[in-house]
Amino acid sequence: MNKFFANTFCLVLLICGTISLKAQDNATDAHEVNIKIPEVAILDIESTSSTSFTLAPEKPTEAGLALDFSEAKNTDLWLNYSSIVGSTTQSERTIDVKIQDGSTVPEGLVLKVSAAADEGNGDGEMGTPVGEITLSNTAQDFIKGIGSCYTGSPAKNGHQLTYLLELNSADGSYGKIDFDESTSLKIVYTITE
Amino acid sequence: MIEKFMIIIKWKKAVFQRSFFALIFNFYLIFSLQGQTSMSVNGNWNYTVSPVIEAGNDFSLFYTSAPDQVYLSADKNKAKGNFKWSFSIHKEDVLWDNTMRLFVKRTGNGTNTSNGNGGGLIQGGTAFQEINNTDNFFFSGKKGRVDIPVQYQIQGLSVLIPADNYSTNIVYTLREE
Repeated sequence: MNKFFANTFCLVLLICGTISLKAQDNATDAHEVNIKIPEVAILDIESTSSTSFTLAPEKPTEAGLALDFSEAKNTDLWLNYSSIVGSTTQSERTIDVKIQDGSTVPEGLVLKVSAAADEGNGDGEMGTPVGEITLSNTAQDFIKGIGSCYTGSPAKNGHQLTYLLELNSADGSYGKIDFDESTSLKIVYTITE
Repeated sequence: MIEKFMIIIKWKKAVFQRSFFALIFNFYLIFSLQGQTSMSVNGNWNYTVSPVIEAGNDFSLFYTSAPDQVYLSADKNKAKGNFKWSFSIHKEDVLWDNTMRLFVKRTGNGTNTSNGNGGGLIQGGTAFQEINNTDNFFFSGKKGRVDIPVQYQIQGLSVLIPADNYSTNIVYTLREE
């Protein structure tokens, strides 16, 4: 009986040892996958036709009347942008606008620009337009609070721009208007990086 | 009382002898017949997302690595007969955004190492499957095989994900079946 028990015990040990060690026969190895998402800050101006346009007041049709500025506007341009802000480096971006150095609006007149709210065709944290501003050679905040987002592209995506050419409201402005002063201006938009 | 004590001693001696031989036999089985399974993973995938070229657009829907971005090997020394094995895969995130989804597939069969002892077999894993944080079956085979090419694909990248260096460890486990 004792011999039988001893043999049985050894046989069980043999089987268990083989099975258990075989079950441990796994091997594991690993490697890294690294994905770098870069910061992105790009914008462009898109149009249904051309990004160049002409603004001019209507000549009076009746002697004694002033120039008519009511049609001196353009709404054909859209501002598109893509932005990724850094989680620690820069939490939001701003777009500013100015007239490129070396050129100015003809005397007696002002050029204004405003942006509509984003068209809603992209995704993310779009910026908020500050409202209508009078353009000058000094950069001014135009759209603020831009997070990680994309507006969609091309025209009819992003923020529609409205340009208005108006008579300067300051006294004596009309007297400064000079038809020889027709000029070309370049409007510069910059997104902060 | 004394007689009984002697019986116990004898019994223990018998058990000891048989246990000793059983252990020796086990070692013989393991090291002489079974051999040691081994695996290797060679390569990494370091990818910088291509910048957005057109303002207003998002990143592309997906990016794919080279077809042979990483090589896997499954082998066993002194393997005789059918050495059946399978690979499983999971990821362990270091810094990861859950909108990013990582996929993997096998793009080739590798090289059979059975040295003329039959052709071996490799099957499964040839369509992209998502790598999760829990272990999932990838593909299986018979007999040793080295240089099995593997390709990755990442989906869900967007400018909505904060700029950063994201990292995850891809863990392969070779199981003998």
